[in-house]
Amino acid sequence: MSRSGAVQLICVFLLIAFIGVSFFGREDTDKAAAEIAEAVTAQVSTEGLQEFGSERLFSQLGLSGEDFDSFVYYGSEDIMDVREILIIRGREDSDLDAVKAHIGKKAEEKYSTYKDYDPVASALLEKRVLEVSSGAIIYIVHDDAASGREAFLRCVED
Amino acid sequence: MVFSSATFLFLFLPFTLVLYHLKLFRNKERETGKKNLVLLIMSLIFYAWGEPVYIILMLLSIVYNYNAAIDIDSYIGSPKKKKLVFICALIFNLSVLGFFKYYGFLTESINSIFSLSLPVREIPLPVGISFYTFQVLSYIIDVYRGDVKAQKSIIPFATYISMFPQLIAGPIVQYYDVEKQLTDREVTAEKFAAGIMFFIKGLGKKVIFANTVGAVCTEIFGMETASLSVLTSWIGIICYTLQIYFDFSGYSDMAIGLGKMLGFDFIQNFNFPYKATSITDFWRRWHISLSSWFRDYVYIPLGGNRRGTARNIFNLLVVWSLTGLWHGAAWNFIVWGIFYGVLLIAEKYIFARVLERVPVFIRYIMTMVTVMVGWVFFSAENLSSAVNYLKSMFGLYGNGFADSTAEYLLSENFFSLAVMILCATGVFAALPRIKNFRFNIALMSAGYIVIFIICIIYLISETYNPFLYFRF
Repeated sequence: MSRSGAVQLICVFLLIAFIGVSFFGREDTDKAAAEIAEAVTAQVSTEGLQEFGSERLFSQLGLSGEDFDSFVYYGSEDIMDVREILIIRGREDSDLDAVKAHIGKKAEEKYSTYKDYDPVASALLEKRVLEVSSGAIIYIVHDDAASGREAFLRCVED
Repeated sequence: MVFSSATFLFLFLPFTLVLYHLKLFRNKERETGKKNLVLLIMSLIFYAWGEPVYIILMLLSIVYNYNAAIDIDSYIGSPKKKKLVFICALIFNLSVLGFFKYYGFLTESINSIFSLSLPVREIPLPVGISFYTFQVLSYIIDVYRGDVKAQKSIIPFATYISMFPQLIAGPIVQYYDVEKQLTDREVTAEKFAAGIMFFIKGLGKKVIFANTVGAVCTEIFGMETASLSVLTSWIGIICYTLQIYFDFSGYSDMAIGLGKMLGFDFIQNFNFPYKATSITDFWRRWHISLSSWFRDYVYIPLGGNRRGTARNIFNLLVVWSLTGLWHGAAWNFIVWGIFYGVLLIAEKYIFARVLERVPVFIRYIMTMVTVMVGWVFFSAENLSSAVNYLKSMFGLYGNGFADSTAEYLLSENFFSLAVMILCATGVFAALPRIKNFRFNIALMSAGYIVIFIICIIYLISETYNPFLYFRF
C-alpha cells in the first residue's frame, strides 16, 4: 500500500472514531436542554405555563431555535403573565455571551414596559435570573427564579 | 465568529491583514507560501473560535482528500484503481455530510413512516460543513475527470478548503477557479480598496437592512397564523424575502471583499435576483455558486438535456430535490426544492411560448409572487406551518384583506421597505453616475464611511445577529 493510501485508511478510522464519540460520547459530557429543564422544573412550578417551540421563542425573544443545540421554552398564553423559563444548550460556547446580552436587552425592554404599569409583573421581572454556565443558558422570570438558578447550576456543573 | 461582530472587525481581521501583508521574503513564491500559511492558520483559528471540536473533522477531510487526489492523479495507467479511490473519496465525503447533517432527519423519518421509536440523538451541525464538503467534492471530481491536477502541496490545498472568508456560508468556490491564485496572486491598492468597499457594502446589507427587516418578519411570524389578515401575511413574507436576500448576499459580498483584500477573486454569488422575470432567470441570479455546482457535478453528469425530454425532466427533479435537501434536513426544504424543479420544468416545456407573449411587468410580478410562495416553505418550521401561512396569505382564514396590524406595520415600515425594495431590485444601481471621476470617488468613499459608522452603531446596540445561511 502506498503512503497516501495508508494515510487515507488512517483518516477513515479516525473519522469512524470521531463519529462514534460524537454519537455516543456526547450525552455524557453535555446535558441536553431537556435534561436541564427537567431539573429546573422539579424546583420551579410550571403551573399555568406551557412549553412552546421555535416560533414562540422567535417572536418573544427574537432567537432562532436553529442556532442552538437544543432549547426548552416555557411561557404563558396570558399576555399579562410575564413568567418564562428558557434553557438553551449552546452550539458555540463563544456565542452564548452574545445570546445572553440579547436576552438581557429584551428583558430590560420588557421591564421598562411593565415598570409603571403592572407592579406584580415588574417585581417578577426585577428578580429575573439570566446566567451562562458550562455551555448552557438559563433565563427565568418566576417567583422561584432563585431556586431555578440553583437547580440549573447543580445540573450543568454536575 | 461572524463577520458582523466586534471581535472579527476590530481584532481578528486587522491582525490577520497585518500578518498576511507583512513582507518577509523577496522571492515571490516563498512570499505566497508564507501568505498561504498565515491564511491557513488564521482560518483554523476562525473556525475553532466557534467550533473547537469540529476542526478535527475539517482537518481529517483535508488530509484524506489531499491524499486521495494525489492517488487519483497517479493512477493514470490503471483506471480501475483510480475509480476505486475516487468512489471511496465520494463515500468518505458524503458519509461525513450525511451523518452530521441528515442522521437526525433520516431517523425521524424512519420512525414516522414505520411507526418505530428509534432513539434520536441531537448531534449539532458543524458550521459550514455543506459548503466545504461541496468544495472538496468539486476538487476530487475535477481531479478524477482530469480537469485539474492534484495539488502536490498540502498547505495551498488546506488553504483552499479552510479559507475563512467563504468557509462558513460560501460562495462555494470551485478549485479550478482559484487553482492559479493559490500559488500566484497579487494584492494591488485598487484591489484592496475594492475589497473594503465590497465588505462594507455586505456589512451594510446585513446589519442595516437584513436585521431591520428581520425584526418585522419576526414579529409577524410570531403572531397566530390563523389570525393574520391577508395584507399582514404578505408584509411578513415580503420582509422575509428581503431579509434572506440582504442577509445572504451581504455575507457573500463580505466574503468576496475579504477575498480581494487577500488577493483572491471569488465568483459573484448574486446578480439582483429580485429583478428576474422568470424562475429560470431567478436561479441564474440567486446563489450562483450553488446552482453552478449542481449544474457541473450533478445535472450534466446525469445527461443534462441531451437524452430526451423524459430524462431531462427526471434530471431536473433529481437536481432540485438535492438542492432542497442541501439547504436543510427537513421535508419543507425538499418540497421547496421540488417546487422549483416542477416550476422550471413547466417553464421549459409547457409555458415557454405563452410566457414570451406576456408583458415583462406581468412576468416580473408572477415571478416574485412565486418566489415569495417558495420562501414560505423555506422559512417555515415544518410543512404544516408553511401550509397554514399560505392559507393566510390567500385569505382562506377569512380574516379580511387588511386590519389595524397591517396598517400599523405599513405606516411604520413603508419608507424602509421601499428603500430596500429599490436596492434589492437594482433600481439604485442602475441610476446614471456622475461623470466627474474624482467627485465619484470622494462621494463613494464618504458613502462607505457613513455606512460603516452606522453599522458599528447598530452592532454596539445589538450583539446577537447570526446569519440565516449559517445553518446550512
